[in-house]
Amino acid sequence: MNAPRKLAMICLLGLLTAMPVWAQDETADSGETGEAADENGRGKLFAEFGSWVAQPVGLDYAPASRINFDDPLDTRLMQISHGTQNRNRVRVGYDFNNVLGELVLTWYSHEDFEGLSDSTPAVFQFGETLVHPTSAGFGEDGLADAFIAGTDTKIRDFRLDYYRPAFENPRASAKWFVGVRRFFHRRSQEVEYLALLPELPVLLPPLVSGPRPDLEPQPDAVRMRSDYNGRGAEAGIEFTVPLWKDRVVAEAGILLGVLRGRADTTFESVTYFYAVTESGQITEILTPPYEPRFTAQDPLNPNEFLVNRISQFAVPVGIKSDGTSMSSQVLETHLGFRWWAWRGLQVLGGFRNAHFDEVALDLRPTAASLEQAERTHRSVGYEGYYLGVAYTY
Amino acid sequence: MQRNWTLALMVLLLASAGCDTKQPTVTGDQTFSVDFTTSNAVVTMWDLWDVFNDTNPKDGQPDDTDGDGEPELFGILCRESRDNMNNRITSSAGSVPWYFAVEIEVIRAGSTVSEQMTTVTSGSTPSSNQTPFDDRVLLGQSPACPANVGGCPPGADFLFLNPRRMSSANQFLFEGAGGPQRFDCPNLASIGNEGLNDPAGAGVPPRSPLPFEFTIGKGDTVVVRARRGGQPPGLDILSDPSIVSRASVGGQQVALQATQSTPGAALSYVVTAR
Repeated sequence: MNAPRKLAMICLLGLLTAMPVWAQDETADSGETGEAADENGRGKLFAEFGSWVAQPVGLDYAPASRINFDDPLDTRLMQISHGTQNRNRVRVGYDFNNVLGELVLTWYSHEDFEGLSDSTPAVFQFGETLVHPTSAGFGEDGLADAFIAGTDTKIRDFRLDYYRPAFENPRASAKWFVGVRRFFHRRSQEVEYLALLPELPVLLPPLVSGPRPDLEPQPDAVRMRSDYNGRGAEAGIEFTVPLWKDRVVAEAGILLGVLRGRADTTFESVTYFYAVTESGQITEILTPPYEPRFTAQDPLNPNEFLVNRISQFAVPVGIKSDGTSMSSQVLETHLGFRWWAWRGLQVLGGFRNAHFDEVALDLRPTAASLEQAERTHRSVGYEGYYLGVAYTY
Repeated sequence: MQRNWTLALMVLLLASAGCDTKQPTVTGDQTFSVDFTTSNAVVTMWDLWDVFNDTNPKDGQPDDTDGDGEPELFGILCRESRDNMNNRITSSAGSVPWYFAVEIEVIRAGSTVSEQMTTVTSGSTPSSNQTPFDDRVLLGQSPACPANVGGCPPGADFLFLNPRRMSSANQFLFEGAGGPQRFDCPNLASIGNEGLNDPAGAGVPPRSPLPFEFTIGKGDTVVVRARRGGQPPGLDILSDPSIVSRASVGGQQVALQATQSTPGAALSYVVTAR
């Protein structure tokens, strides 16, 4: 976290703890608004069930690039776009009374599967951006004529917050809160880069005695995964402004949190090359163009073609990191309305935005050395409209 | 009123679902046709006659011994076609039977999986794919009376009718045993039918006739690969032909490729439907 952000959080926490608490004003009879205190001073249980139609943002999945051979400067990253998903957000809490405050438990989870694929058979224009560059691409040039990418993005968010009234008057009221958060984030992508129509000699008799599916170009593949588990403290404030007869209010809130967590990260890449073998040992690694070597006479057996001693081999590259320590931040805001529809039943809706900074880690071996790794910290955000119901018992 | 609003909002909440931001695609269908023939094939020619008895009665008309109104065919006589200098007559054939191996696959638009349209077979066995026979039958070029038959009417015991000329690559010469007697014809065993050997891989003969056709949609890519195989047994040919492949989409030719005339020569081309 950078210095200005730290300073802002310290100031906000200081402001919240120093804010005076005013006694709640007299309100309408209990049953017309959920804010009314129980006449006997007993606490109230409430539950809130909502749907948050959220869209993940900021994931930056870019499985391939598209080369513009007419203008090399126009090469573009192909990014996976994410649609919205409707997921439930549950809150359960107990309002002790306006003096002792509220304890609220919030649970939300979201899992998003997205994919992207494209193919231009025989036109090798897709850059294999994620595989290790060793032997990448059918032509050893890091290019493919098709790719298939799939991603899996998941979060599980658990919060336990303690609310206290900050102030209350006919024009506005506010509650501040502090709490703890437990957060899980998975970021996973798998990509295959294919050579649908490679420049290989025609693998038919009499060049080969039978089908040679082992010589069909295997797809270069990569799998990257990051699992982050973090926990930490948070604080925030929520405001309400009455709009109509204390039955409809506008509400807004902001939350800041600091998490400390660990990330388990995996990178696996496999590319392929062709080679001539003799007695099971590689004697010659082939490079494009392959036709002259595939159709050449076998010097060990002049009656046969060299292709009979050619095989395809894999180059696996992988790196893992377990328990990498990470410091993350949470910024969450929402703006909406709440309507006391009938006795303790409320209807609520609005727009919510949650940003989780540095909650994933991409790890890749460098091109120069398999022992060294490039680390890229990733963030994720969720934004979208929500709608729900709540009931105070 | 208040309850109606509440009910409406609850229904909206319960019925809410994630938005789907993807759009469907639509393609049209066309017929893709691929044909295989040979070129540069020089063949010898043969003259053929239908042979009938003319003894009962000897009236210059073929005998109908069973009275069914149709004269009985005694056999078929063959002679190599010769010119006035007694040289063998040759001809360029549009196609002669030749074995080849072929692989045809389709990559549907937007797909990364190829669909195999043919089975891969050896290029030099009787079960291989085979280019068409030369089925030309030339009339008016053969002599009316074959040579070395002891004369033609009047007065002969046999009538030699329907003179015709065909090439040494005609399927008739490869029919093997069975049928009417053959006199002095090449005694060639059957080498099978022209076409692709069991393209669907069902294991059920006979071959699929040429041209080989299937349906493709807009954006589909067809890949055709072939290698020249061996010469069928008994084929009398004076040149080394090459394999020629033609492809058309919706009746319009879109590709034409030929192998070299060397053993094992290959051709390969790609067609994408627009």
